[in-house]
Amino acid sequence: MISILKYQFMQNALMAGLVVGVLCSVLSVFVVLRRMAFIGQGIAHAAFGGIALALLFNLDLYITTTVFCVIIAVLIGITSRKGKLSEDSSIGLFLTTSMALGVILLKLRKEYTTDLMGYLFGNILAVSRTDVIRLFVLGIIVLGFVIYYYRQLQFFTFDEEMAQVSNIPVKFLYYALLVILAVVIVLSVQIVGIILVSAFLIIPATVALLIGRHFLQVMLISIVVGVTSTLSGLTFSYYAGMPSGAIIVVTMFVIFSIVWLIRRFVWKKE
Amino acid sequence: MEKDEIIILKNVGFSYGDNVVLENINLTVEEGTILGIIGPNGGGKTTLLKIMLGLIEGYTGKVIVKCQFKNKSGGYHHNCMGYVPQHSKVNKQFPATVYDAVEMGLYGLTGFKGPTKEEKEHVNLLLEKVGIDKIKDCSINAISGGQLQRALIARALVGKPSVLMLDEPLVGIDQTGVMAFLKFLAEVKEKFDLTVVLVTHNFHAMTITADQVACLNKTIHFHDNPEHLSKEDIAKTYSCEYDAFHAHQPG
Repeated sequence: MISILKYQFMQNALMAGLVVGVLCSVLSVFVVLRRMAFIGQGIAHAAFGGIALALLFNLDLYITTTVFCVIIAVLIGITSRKGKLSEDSSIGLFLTTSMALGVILLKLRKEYTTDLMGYLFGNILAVSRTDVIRLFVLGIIVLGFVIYYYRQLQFFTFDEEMAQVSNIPVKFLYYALLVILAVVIVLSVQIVGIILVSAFLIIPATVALLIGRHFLQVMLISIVVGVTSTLSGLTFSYYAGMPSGAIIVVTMFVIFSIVWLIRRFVWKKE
Repeated sequence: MEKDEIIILKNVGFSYGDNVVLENINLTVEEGTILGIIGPNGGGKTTLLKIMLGLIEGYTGKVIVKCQFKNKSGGYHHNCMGYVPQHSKVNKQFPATVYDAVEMGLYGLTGFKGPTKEEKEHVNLLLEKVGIDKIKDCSINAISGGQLQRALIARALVGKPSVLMLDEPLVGIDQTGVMAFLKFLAEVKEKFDLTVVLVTHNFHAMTITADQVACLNKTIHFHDNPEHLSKEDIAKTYSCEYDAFHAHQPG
């Protein structure tokens, strides 16, 4: 472990992995309990359109992709909440259109896009110190939001209608959650890629729900699962020379399998 | 003695696109009474309940709710309404104990700082009053439907509401359970000085419990004391003869 810390790119990767692990694990509790997994996937795929737009017009990659994904996330929210389209149809519509737009925009770009695979499957080696700082700032904002609205978010996640009747600002929380999800997904794409980011938003909370009895317990266990698998996956991928995103996701799945087996055969739920 | 009206609906209508769900609804709920809303499936009962709760927008007409409700600047201390959804619709996989689920009813009032010691004691007292204090540390996925329903009622009551709204609370309960639940509901109403609005399919339960009954099928076909309900009113509401309707009622 010590030897890999000699290299700045690995220091950056581990710090970025730590922040992404924490943020995605916290959000995964809401994504799983509110059954928003498909929304997460929709936003992640929309990132492809944003990336293509930034590459074609030489715009700032993060800002362009973030703005693009936030717009798509809010559009998914508006169309599905207003009841004009079902949520999955709405996500499917924006997901596929954004991907298609991305392909067209990249085709219009005259230069060959060498780093396309990096966007699809993540490229942890490309994380710079600026990216790490950006992630830390974002991490503080997101965690601050979750801590401040912790109880309201909990009630909103459990029962949105009763929460609304009890003066919880449900619309604000819903759209805030979508915007945060979009921003976190964009920043996570560099590490784990568009295709695999969904795992970060599903597996940690799924494991935590097998163990935790209280909402706070589930959130803390989810963070432990997310951070442990991200850091161990990154370290393993460095020594094995394997793609980091894929190794992290497989590590998460191994943790899930072990916990599930223990829950099923050794420590049965009440 | 005339009672004060706590909820007033004037010419309320609602449509999903071209599908008219409710039209020309004129209804009043008197303070301290139990209003039972009965009607067939798809007759608009739950939609009407949700309009009264403020959960559905885009309706026509006017809804007036006169709760003793202080706004934020006045430091509100209780909710206007408590809502008890169908217990079968609750996400039982949510990681919460019975205590956690009930305490959540306070979160709209407590904000960032969370419930005070006194408020936590109030939750415990409420759990005792609705008879679920012994299972307060059980996960909500480990308790029965009846216990979950009591927990949902406690959650609705914890914000000290003026009106309690229940959506189909009798679904999935056998006849003995229905009678026990109605007795419990009457006790809760008295103990907490509530106005109750109850949506149900169970016509017989309503004739026993409700002070007022509203028969709803798109529009109100009857609204009065259940003793005045005639076979013709039922036939109009359910679009079938009274005997056919009676044969399909529980109990």
